[in-house]
Amino acid sequence: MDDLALHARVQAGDPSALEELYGRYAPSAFGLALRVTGDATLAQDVVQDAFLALWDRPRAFDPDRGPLRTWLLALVHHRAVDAVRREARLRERATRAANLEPPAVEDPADEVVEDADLAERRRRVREALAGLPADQRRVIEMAYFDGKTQPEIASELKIPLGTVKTRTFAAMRRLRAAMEGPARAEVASDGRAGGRAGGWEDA
Amino acid sequence: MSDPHDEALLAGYVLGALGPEDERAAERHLREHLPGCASCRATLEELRSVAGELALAAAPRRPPALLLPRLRRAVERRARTRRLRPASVAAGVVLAAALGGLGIVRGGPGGVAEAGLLTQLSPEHLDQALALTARTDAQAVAVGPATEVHAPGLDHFYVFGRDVPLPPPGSVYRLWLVGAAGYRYLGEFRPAPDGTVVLRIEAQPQAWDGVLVTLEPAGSAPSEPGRPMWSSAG
Ligand SMILES: [Zn+2]
Repeated sequence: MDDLALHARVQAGDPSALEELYGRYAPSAFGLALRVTGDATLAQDVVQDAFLALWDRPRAFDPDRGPLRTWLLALVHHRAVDAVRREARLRERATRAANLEPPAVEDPADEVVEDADLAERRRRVREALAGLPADQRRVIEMAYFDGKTQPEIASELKIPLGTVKTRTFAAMRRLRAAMEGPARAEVASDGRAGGRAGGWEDA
Repeated sequence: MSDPHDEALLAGYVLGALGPEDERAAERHLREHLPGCASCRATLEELRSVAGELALAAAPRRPPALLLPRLRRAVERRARTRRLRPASVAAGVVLAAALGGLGIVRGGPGGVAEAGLLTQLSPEHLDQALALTARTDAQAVAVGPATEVHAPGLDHFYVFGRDVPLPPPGSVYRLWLVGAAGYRYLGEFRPAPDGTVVLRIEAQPQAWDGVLVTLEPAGSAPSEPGRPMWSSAG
């Protein structure tokens, strides 16, 4: 059953559909929340909140605007960043590594089996990130994965705010080009993959 | 802002990384510039899809086994609450009715106020309204310091704002639909202490000319609109 059918069942109030979506996306959601918060307890709360939000207001997801997975993970990201900022306000966090990369050797119990499409997308976005110039990658990682605001990034890197902004935009543009190239042919496979021609010419 | 098509602003926006000042600028930009600029709307969508894919750069991790049963219990609790109080508590929202504002409009031109047409959402739900604003077919209209946003095909719309002044002590804001046939009373609302207001209205705005916000003495009968404050109608 595809995501949209499951979404329709969630909308109709069928909890088993929510559980099926959980089975599908909880590992992505938890991995993301863990990376942003760096805290397994917070990350669990974030994941639970996101799935509950889907349950409570399924119509907040608009199928015309992209796949359910993207929407759900954006929600997870948003809440994870909120949690980090809330926590940061409450107490001065011990300086943690700027990047909580997953341990090189993962516990085999943690290993997640995913469908081929998701794994392929993952590979592509990682490659695109790895292909960014280091200074661009840094602002993206600080913003997206560490939940820092652009003024915070500017003061931490001791560069002007305007530089952070242009660097961020340049990075996003490059990421898109990198992900778009090989992605194009494959977009048709799920029909909604987010590729749309035009609107963003390379300048 | 010197650059009318501020794409860099949109990039920070989709990453959720703007500072407070730029955040406000972005919201204004989405509201005022994007509805009329196809190129920026397309850029926003592209940026959004890039940001969406970034989520996949984090390694997937199996969540603790206890999380699913926890989620299941939370869903069951909500199912019970839902039966008790339809469509309200489940969403973690505050019904305007709970504020005591939803009386019956006696003999008013708009007829009877129907409970539940107006829902005041907590400030953290502002993103729902903003998400609608970013839709390519969305229409945004100013309602004083707030914004009304709607889109074709939806049976609800939003009125939201971030700098709505608190009503003077002893008075309340009331929201009305304005149409050729008269007014329909929706209920009272109150800005959060920081001035944020997020209202969801269960009505098709196409059937009405707009909304009207009035300032009225607390506890007075909402028989017809009192002192008009702001309106999106003509
Ligand atoms: Zn523009």
